[in-house]
Amino acid sequence: MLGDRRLWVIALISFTFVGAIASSRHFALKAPVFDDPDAALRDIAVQHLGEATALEQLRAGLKSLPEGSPIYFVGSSRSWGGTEIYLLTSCLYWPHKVWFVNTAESLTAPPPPAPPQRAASTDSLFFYETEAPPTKNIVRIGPKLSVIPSRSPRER
Amino acid sequence: MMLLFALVILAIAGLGLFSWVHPKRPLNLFETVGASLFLGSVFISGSLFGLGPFLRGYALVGGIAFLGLTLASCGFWRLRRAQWETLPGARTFAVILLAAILIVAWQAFARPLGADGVFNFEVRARLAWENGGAIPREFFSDPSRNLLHASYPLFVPLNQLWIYLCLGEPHQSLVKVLGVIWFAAAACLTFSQLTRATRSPVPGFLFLAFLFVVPMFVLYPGGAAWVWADFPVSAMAIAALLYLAEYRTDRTGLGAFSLMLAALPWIKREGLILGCLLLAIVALDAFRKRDWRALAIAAPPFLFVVAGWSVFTTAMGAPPVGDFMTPSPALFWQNLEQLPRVIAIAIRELLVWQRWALLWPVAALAWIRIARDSSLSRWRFAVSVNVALIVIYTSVYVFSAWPVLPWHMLTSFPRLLLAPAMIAIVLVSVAVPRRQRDPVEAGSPEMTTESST
Repeated sequence: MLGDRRLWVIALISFTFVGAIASSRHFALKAPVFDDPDAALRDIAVQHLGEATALEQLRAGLKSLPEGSPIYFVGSSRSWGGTEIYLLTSCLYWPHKVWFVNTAESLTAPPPPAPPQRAASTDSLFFYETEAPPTKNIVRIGPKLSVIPSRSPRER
Repeated sequence: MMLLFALVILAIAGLGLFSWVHPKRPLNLFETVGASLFLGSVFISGSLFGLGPFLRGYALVGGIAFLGLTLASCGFWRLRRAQWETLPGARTFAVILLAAILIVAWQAFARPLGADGVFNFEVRARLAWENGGAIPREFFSDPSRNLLHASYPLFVPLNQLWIYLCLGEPHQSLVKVLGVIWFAAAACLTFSQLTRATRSPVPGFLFLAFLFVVPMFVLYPGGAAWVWADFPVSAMAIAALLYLAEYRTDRTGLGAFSLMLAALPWIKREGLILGCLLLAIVALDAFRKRDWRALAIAAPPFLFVVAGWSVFTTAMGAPPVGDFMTPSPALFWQNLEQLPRVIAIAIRELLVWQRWALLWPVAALAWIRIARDSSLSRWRFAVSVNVALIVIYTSVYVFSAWPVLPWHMLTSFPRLLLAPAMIAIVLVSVAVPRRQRDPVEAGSPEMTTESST
């Protein structure tokens, strides 16, 4: 029976028909982009921070931090946005340390390693989808990310 | 212009490598192009890994270009007496392939790399570019960057680095060209091997069509348009499997098989499982025939890559990936109660038509036909590999370290299935009965052979 071509014709037509419907849902009807060196970083930043200039704002925010001060990123490991913005910050802030402080009560995946010690006043704090403590020098990047830069040695 | 330079060096270096391992039989254009692109990517990533710590910037590019050109010169010399053949349906396939490549290029350049593409692969290329050509040592051991999975192999990032070094800047748009290259390589090499094996172009055409029918192969995250490691490891596994099939029937293609087998664990961690399964087939054949030559040739490069990467990551202090617990029989028995749940999720995944269309039901028909039809007996080992892969990939989730098992399977299992799915479409392509006048059944090979000299 499996050597019968008619059976295979029916199977392959059904396969192709279903595949065409499935593929059409994933087909990107957008113009190709050849000239954006930061296309992927920008896409992640815009997707989770909700502003067209989110990547530039994040870069400027990181540049304004005192040289080498560690970052404590407070967010939930259950949220894609939290994890991806943490990783984006970690990549942009190389080679300095960015620690993840997980706020999720129950876990779906193994969390990133906890910071080795509590944050000090020389450390910068990032809050993603988490209420930041009220301070004067808070910087907001989009509606979800709040940055409290560390105080530089001079300010202290 | 520099992008073209990068791709030309990649291709001709690959041609040089292929000239050392090519099967001792007539070659054809599609096989040569496909194998050159794959092996060129292996050469580029391997030489960047080796030379990156010693050379910087343009010196590194120059050094690799020099090595590639030297390899290519030797390759042209070695191939000058090769016999060349024209495959049936070659012209039609070339036209269709061109259209397919344009579609893949459009889809690749129209979408970004995605989060996994950036954080698991591209960030390494970016850091290496900033560091002059070598991934900084601190990257591998930094505990605050544990989620970047420092122990993932470097095939994809180092090919991206090659593009960046040639362009003079990290460029997340232009780097997508690698997805197009690997797609073209997979299509060319598979068309060639299937057409040679069946003496009909039909399976090769079907294979190319199926790449578009199943969304996972090109469009879905992990497919060719995304430039993650899933597509190249699956395509390389298919290439190795088809050379193994050739070696088992015609005793040619062992060199190409061995090199592609060794590349598997260098592309992705799952390549270890894929490679071990293919090596197990070689070992079984050797045991049956009491002929250990193939095993003695194929195993050492594979084991060298596996052991070498393990030694490197240990020396660098890279933390192990914490997604799975260390497998052991005791742990398997301890977690056995998870197995029914794992199987249920796996079966549900195989039936997700949005990702797979009707691939798995059609593949099941192909497996049965191949198992029952003696004229398809050369493909029976591939059915075993296909089924074994699905079983192994499913059962590893018994060792999942994630607190919520379905979440772990949902996020990783579909991409893990890409290699078995690609093997499945090869098997469907050969299992579809062809017309009586088809050359394979009429027994009249249509391939025309000519000498290049």
